[in-house]
Amino acid sequence: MKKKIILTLLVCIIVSYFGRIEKEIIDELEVATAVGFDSKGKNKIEATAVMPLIKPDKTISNKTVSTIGNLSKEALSNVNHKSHKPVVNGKLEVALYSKKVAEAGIQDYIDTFHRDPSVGSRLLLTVVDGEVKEMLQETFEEFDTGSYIQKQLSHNMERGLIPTSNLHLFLSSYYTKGMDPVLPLIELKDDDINIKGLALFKGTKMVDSIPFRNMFVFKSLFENIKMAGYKLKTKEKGKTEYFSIQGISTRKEFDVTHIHKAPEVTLHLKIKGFIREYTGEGVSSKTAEKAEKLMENKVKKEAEMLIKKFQRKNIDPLAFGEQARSRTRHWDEKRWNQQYKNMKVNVKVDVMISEIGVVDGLEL
Amino acid sequence: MKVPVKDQYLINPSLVFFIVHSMQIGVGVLGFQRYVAIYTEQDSWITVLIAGATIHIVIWIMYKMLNKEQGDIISIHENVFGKWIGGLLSFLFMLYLIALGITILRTFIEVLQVWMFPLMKTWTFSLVYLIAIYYIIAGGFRTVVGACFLGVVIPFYLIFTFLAPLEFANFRNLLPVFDHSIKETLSSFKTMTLSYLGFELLLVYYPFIKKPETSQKWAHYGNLFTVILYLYLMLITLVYFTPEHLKRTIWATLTMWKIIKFPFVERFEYIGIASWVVVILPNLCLAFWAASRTAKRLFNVKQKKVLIAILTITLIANTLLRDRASIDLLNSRVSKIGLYFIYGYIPFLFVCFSFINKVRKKT
Repeated sequence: MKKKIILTLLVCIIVSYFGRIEKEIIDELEVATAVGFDSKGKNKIEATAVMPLIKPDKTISNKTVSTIGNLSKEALSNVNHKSHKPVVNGKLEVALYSKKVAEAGIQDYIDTFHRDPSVGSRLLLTVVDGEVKEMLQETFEEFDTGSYIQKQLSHNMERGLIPTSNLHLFLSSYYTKGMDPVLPLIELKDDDINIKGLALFKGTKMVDSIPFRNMFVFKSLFENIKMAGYKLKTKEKGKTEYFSIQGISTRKEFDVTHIHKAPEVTLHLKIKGFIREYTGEGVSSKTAEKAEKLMENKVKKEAEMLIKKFQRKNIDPLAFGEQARSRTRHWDEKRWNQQYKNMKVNVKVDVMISEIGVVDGLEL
Repeated sequence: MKVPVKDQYLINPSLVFFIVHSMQIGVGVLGFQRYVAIYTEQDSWITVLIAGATIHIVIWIMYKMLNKEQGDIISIHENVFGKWIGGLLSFLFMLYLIALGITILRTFIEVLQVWMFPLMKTWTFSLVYLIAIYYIIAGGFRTVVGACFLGVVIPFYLIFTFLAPLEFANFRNLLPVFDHSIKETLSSFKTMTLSYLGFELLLVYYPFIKKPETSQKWAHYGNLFTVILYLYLMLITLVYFTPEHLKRTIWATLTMWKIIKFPFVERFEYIGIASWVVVILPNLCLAFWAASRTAKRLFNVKQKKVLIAILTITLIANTLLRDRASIDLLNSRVSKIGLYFIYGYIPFLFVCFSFINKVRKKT
C-alpha cells in the first residue's frame, strides 16, 4: 500500500513538472483580428496586423503593426518583434490583399492559412484597391478594424450582393476542376469602406474585376439570392423613370447539352421580387408587368455580357466546367478548356413581380 | 477444447455490440476519408459499403470457428498447428495487438500535438494515459467492457456536429456516380478495410461471453452501426470538400469541425479532440487487455505483470516515434498486417480448422 502511494505521488510530481505546456493567458496576448499584405517593390511584402485595444473605459480602438519581409510568413513573424506581447492568429477574421499582391498571386498566403490549424475556415478573404495599410489604420466606431470589415462583408454576403466566400470556399473553388475563385474587392473612400466590385481569379492570380453595378447579376448567376434589391432605369416619353425592386430571391438552373461534341450551356434564371418605389405614374398591376419585361431584358443582356467577358479572359467563376464534369463520365478537362472560350451560352431569365406593396393604384 | 472462464467474469451477449463497434471507431475516423478518396474520389461512399459488407462475412467465418471450438484463438492454434507452431502464431498475434495499441496512442498524440499543443511532450501524456489504462484493465474484462460502453455512449453527441458543414455543401460533388474502374475501387477498398479493423479481437474475448453463440447477431449489429457511421461521415465529407481538396487534407473530420463557430467557443475541433480521448480509451484498453490475456494463456504468467511490461514497451516505443513520416509508416505497416490477417489468415485458418476437424471425426 505504502509503495503504491509513493509511486502515485512520484508520477504526479514528474508529470506535473515535465509535462507543463506553455501558458497562453488571453490578457497577455495580442489577438490579431485582421492581417493585410501590401507589395513593397520587388519581392518585398509589407504585412500589417490589426489588434483590438480595449481601454479601461471599455471603448475599443486599434493597434496596427506593420513589418516588411520577403515572404508572407517572414513578414508575419516579424510582427512579433514589434509587439510587446506575443501575437496569436486564432481569432483572425479577415485577410486583405492589395490589388498588386493579388495580381502577383496569393498562393503562398493562402497556403500559410490553410496549413495553420489555429486559423478558422470562416476567415474572410478580400482584395483591396489601394493601400491595405492605410485601410487598416483607419478607425471605425465601436469595433476594431478587423471585426468591422468582417461584419460589413458578412452581412453583405447574407443579404447583399457579395457572393458568399470564406477561406474554405476559396480553397474549394480553387481545387474544383472547372471553377475559378472570386473575392470581394473593397476600397477606402471618404473614411468609409466601400464595396467596389468583385475580383476575378485564375487559380490564385487575380486577372480581372467587375464593377459594383454588375454584382447583382453576377451573384444571381453564382448562387441563389435570398434577399436583395435592384434598380431599374427606363425612359418613358422622354422622362427617365426608376423602379426599385426589393426582396428579390433568385434560383438558377443549369442545363448542359451536347457535352461530348460541342457543349452548350443553358442558364435558367428565375427572379422573384416586389416593387417598392416607382418614380413614374402610379403603380398598378400593369406597371408590374412592364417592370418584369424590363428587368428580364436587362438582366439577360448583362448576364450575356459578363459571360462573354469570362470566356474572353478564359476564367470560369460560374463553374460551368463543374456543371459539365458532374454530368459526364470520364470528363476531359483539357478538351473542356479548349472548348470553353467559344462555347455557346444561353441565358433565360424569368422575372415575377409578386407584390406591389401595401397600396394600389392611384397617385396621391 | 473449451476455455474455462469463471461465471462472475462473463458478460451479457448484447454488450458485444459495444465492444465490436467501439474497437472499430478510433483515431482513424479523424482522417480516413482522404486515403479512400485518393483512389475513388466522389465514389468513395460505395467503397465504404463494399468494405463493410465483406467484414460481415469475416465475422461470420470467425463465429463458425469459435462456436465449434468454444475457445479462443490460442486454443484454435494449438488445436490446428500443435503446441509449438500454434504457440508461435499466437505469439505473433500478441505482437500485432501490442503494435496496434502503440499505433493508436501515438497517432492520437500526434493529433494533439499538431492541433492543440505543439510543445506537448509525448511521454508525459502517454504516461498518464497508460496509468489510466492499467487501472481499467486491472479491474478485469468486465471493466474494460464498461469502458467500451462509455466510449460509444458519451461521444455520441458528436454525430450531430457533422451536420454543420452542410451549410457549405455542394451536392454536385457526388456526381457522376460510378465513374471509377474496378481497379481503383479495389485500391480504395484496401485502405477502407483498415478503418474497420478491431473486430478481430473477438478471437480473444469470445470465452468471456455468456452463451457466446447468441452474441453473433450483436457483433453483426455492431459492425453495421460502424458502416452506417462511416457512410454518414463519408457522404458529408464528399459534399463539403472537392476531391482535389480532400486529397490534400490529412484530418478531414477535424477540418470539417473548423467551420463550426459558437459565440463561446471560437472553434469546435478543440472540443472534438478532447472528446476523442474517451473514444480511443476503449481501443487501447481492449488491445492491451487482449495482448496481456494472450500472453497469460501462452506463458502461464500473471496478467498484471505482463500488462506492466507491455505498457512500458508502449511508453518507450511512443517516445521513440518522433515525426509524421515514421508515424505514418507505422500506421501503414500495422494496417497492412491487419488487412492480411482478416482477409488472408482468418479464412486460411478456417479452412485448416474445418479440414482437421473432418479428418479427426473420421478416425
